[in-house]
Amino acid sequence: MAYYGSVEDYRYNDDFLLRLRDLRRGNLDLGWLNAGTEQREFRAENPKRGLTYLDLDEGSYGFSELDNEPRGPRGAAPRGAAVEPEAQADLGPELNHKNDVWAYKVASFTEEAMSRQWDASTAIPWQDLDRYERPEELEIAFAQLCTFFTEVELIATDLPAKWSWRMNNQFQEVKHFIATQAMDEARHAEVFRKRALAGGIGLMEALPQAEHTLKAILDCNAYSEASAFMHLLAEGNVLTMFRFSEFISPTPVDKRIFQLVMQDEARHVSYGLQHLRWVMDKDPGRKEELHKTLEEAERISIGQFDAALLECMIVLAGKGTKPGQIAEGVKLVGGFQVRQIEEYFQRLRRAGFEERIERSLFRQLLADIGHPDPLAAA
Amino acid sequence: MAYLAPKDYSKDPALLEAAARKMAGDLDLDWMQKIRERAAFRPGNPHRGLTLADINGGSYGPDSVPELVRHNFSMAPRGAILPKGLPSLGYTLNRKSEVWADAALALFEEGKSRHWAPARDIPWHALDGADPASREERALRQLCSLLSGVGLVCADIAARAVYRLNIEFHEIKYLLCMQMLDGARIAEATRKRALYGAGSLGVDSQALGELLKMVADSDSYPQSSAGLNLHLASLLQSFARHLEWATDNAADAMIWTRVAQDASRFLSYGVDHLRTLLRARPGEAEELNQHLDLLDNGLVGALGATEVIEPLIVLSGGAQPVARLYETLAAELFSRCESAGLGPRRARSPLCDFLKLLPGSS
Amino acid sequence: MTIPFPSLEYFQALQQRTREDSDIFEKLGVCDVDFGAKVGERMFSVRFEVCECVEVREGGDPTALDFVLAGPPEIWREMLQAIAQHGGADAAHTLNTLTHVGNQIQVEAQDAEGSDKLFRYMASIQEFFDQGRHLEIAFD
Ligand SMILES: [Fe+2]
Ligand SMILES: [Fe+2]
Repeated sequence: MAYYGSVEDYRYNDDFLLRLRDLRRGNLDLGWLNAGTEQREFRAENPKRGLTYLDLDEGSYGFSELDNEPRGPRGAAPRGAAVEPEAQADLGPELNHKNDVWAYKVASFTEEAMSRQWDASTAIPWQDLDRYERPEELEIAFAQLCTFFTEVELIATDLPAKWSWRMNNQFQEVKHFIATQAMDEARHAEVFRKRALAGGIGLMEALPQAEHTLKAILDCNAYSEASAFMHLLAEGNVLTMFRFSEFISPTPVDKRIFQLVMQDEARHVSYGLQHLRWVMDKDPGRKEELHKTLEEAERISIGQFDAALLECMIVLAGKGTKPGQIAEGVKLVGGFQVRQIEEYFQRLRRAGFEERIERSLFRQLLADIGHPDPLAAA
Repeated sequence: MAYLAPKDYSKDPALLEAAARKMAGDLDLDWMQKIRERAAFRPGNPHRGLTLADINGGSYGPDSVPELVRHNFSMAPRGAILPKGLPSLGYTLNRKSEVWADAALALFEEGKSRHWAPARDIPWHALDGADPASREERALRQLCSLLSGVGLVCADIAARAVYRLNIEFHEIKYLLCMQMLDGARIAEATRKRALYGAGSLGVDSQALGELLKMVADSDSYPQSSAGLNLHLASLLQSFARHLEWATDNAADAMIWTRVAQDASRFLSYGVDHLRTLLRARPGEAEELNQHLDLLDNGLVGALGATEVIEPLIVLSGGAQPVARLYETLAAELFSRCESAGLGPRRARSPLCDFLKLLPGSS
Repeated sequence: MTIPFPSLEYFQALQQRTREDSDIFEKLGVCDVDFGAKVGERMFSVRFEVCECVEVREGGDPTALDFVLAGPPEIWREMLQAIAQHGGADAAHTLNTLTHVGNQIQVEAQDAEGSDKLFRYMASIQEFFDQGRHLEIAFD
């Protein structure tokens, strides 16, 4: 233990013993009844929606009026409670500026996440896998794809976990959102592992290049950098991959998996977009730093297509390994790659970071494959 | 950005050329031969669906993981083929007995199937009859404020271990992610309870905060697990059961039943985890016990703090039920520690002397 | 009773189904979205609030909606027939598949935030159309 509390042994602490003696005599101090905190009327605005964080967004309890620099509270107490800064157990939060973590709509995303949880054990009709013919080579390709997803999902448990405990408790809605994301991603890793181990092939080979991307995400210097890289770029890519995978899924069981993971993923991407938008609006001085992060992120993403990943997607998209099927697969995967980049650019635009597009390394990539310049198109 | 990938992929001609070759339809397909161990697991019980236990056959199961993991520090899932060149993700929890619990698999499944969302699952309108100015209501709001902080810190403590945990123990990672959600939900439900109607939050507690900080700043994962999954979860479970007992409305009844239920999963994991650890390394029991002695002192401070015990007395209609609550809490905590393999703690714990000092103690 | 497609009656019938099968929608979770379905030139607006479809109407301003699913009547018809035949969309006719590659149905949105809502609520919106399995539809 690195922290031992301020009282060596309460059994011999005079103040403590005195208070207990008073209690035994029936004398209550009741100082806590005069907390001096605000009393307000809170109701569920829409009873069907229940009591949401948005319903509590008022005065000193609310998040809208929360300052960028909530000075004072550094302990466990929730926002709006009475805190004596000099008499609190300081948990040592490192992220104390609202702009470092906040996102537009984060309270809604959190409520949505709590409401849209699902269970990978029972929400997928696993028994039905036997009802569909699954050609061996497609099942192998699908097992490789599931190996990749199982591998990459857990970056999105680890990265949010790495930062959330460093965030001041004043940012409860963000911390809660991150907790829902950690749970979502654990479920994603679970569902892809289950699919790989139910299909007859098992897990295949891990992908080193993809893992360098994961490491780069985990090692980002600041939360906002990590969020731009992971939530916006990497999870944006994964969302497009989920849509593509749903499209090429060999069975309705697999379609169901991708429909469900897609919903969670879109929420994570939306948070990332809205956090970046918040930073652009409130702290535009960080643009250069985010350019640098996304430049390296784009560079490393260009290399993320391990041979096995690219090929398994081509095989799945073309539905086989015959030359005609491969040609069809290449066509579809090429279209998918362009779409990934286009959607990333659309999100940058919505986040108010359009200038990133101009400097993006992906523009050269698009030019190399003869795709029209997205800036000219816009 | 702190990490530099081993090469600048955007300028790697070999890589770009290989990608171009594939996109021209020239595939290697050598990966298709890399099938290591076939698996086609199906639900053991269709009502439960396909569970984590169902898919842990052969070398995919945790039995294949050695006590000291030396072979994998990447995110490659357990049972995948590990090629050269996988980076290290920097895990620092790489010893199986330090983190493992067989119970984790079922607890994760249980937590998913018992998910609840406070916004819509709690019948908030059942609180409309409460008198916001009554001492009882204000006492409950004070306790909710404190428990909200406990929930937030529980989530933090779990988070602190998630990214340090080796991927080979993925079931434990999943469970810790669920603990993040459980903690956040306790914080949410209690905040909403305190504010509903003409609500307010109460005062912070330094003593309780110090207990939370002791657990959060633990030196090792087993210490942190003992603090979170035994001490804090015992506190949460006992308080929730007591508040359920004290209420007469459907909203509180549901909140506290659910909170007690969630806390119970922490307890089950904690007991099984420490038991696994102490079976493998019984020599660690004394060090853990010394750690628990310190935590017990922190717990005494928290339970005796005016802003904690007084609202409980007000809500319970007197001191006696609170003394019973604390006695039960301590007895259950001791029995959990014993069941985990820590031996009898009653004689060495400061909790026992504290219980004797309580008004209404038996 | 046979319901013509495309028509407001068809969307009203789906709305009614979300009430009759509310458990499914409740289980899928909150879904707050305003979207359009454009069948050829005819446009219908659908609004979900919490877990329920609260409004359907003909027409609507596409720029005020989160996104519009726009496709030729033949594709819509194919999708609806597949839903009727299989008791829900088969692999070739899920909303994602139809909107993903080849753009048989286009997702038209003002910005990324709007189109991302289709993905955030995919299972609910898919279930909305899948409820067509209970309807008898006559095509124009
Ligand atoms: Fe994910
Ligand atoms: Fe995600």
